[in-house]
Amino acid sequence: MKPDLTSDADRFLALLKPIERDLELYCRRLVWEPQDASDAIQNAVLRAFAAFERYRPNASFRAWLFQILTREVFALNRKHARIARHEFQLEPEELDAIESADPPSTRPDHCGTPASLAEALDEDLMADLKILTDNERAVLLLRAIGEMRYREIAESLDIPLGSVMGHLARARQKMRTLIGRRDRRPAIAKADNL
Amino acid sequence: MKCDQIQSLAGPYLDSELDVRTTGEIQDHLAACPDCARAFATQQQAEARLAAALQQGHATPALWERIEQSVRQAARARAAAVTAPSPTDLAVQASTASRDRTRQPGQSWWRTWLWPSPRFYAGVAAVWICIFALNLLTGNLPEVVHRSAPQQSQQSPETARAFAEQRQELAELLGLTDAPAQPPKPTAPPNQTHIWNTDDRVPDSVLNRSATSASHT
Repeated sequence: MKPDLTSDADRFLALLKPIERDLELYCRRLVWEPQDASDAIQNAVLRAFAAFERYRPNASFRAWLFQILTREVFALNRKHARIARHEFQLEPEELDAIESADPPSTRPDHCGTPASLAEALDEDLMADLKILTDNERAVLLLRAIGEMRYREIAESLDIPLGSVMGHLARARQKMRTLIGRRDRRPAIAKADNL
Repeated sequence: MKCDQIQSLAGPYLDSELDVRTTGEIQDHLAACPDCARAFATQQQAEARLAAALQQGHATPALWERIEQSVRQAARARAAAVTAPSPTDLAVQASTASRDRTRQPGQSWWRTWLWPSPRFYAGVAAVWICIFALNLLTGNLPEVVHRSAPQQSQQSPETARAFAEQRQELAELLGLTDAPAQPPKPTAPPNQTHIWNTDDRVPDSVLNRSATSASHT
């Protein structure tokens, strides 16, 4: 008896539909070259469909597809060999040292309204994310966009659970520091003008 | 738990990834420590806003329409591959196509098979090989027969004499001749003793040889 492949495609697309936006956002944040995002998504989805026969219905389709997409993007990033050239590999201690140069009293509250923060981050956020390592960026995005549990992230990236916690803590600390420094610049510029 | 230990667990605590017992300990500590409670609140607010910023954006409909078409196209390709003929079927189709290609319109099937085809030329070659082989065999056959057959043309002396007697008796009965017919000269096979009859005429050489031998004795 021949398998109903048209039905397979319908079932696959039905599972894909609710996570399309998250997949696209995740890919655009994770990929090093923005123009590679569309190709990466399409390749990952077709790869997932090719392997859909092996997909177990009791597993998380969302985690499975994020895993395939992550591997696709990592392969693209490695292919371009740009991460090693541009990544600063800043450690939290180094960022703290930079941050401590300013007296605490001058620190503005960098947690503005979500809308203003989103506007400010729209372009700068991508630059900040590139400060992170590949795994830090993936863990942060899988948690923030994919809304995955730590264990799912560990399985998706094939790393230990402790590494997930370490990568996530460092990524969050770096991002908070970078966003805080950027938010301080307008205040400093305003003070200089005065 | 001390404050630094509590601070190191802030992320997993805010992500609800800790077990019940550790979560309870942290909650007890936060209730008793205003500094840690304030730090936790600040971190929670910052991470929520970071997550909100990272989640900002929308899907591109054109991209997903293209992807959906690609998926359906891949499904059709797989379905076509599943229903594709087997290698045996392909070989039969190729053979039929080859025959049909060489067959002319209006040409009968046996003419297509026999002329002009490799089978035809192979058959002709086989016939020629058989004829050549038969020629080789039949060329040696008379010599073999000649050597192996019995010498029927040579009659024994008794037979010749019997024929001569019968011929003479027949001639006498018919009155055809006055003189008795000469029997054919028997040709004795080599190394065979000649038996003399009383009617035989003894050759002179034999008589001379007998006389010579008698004088010697």
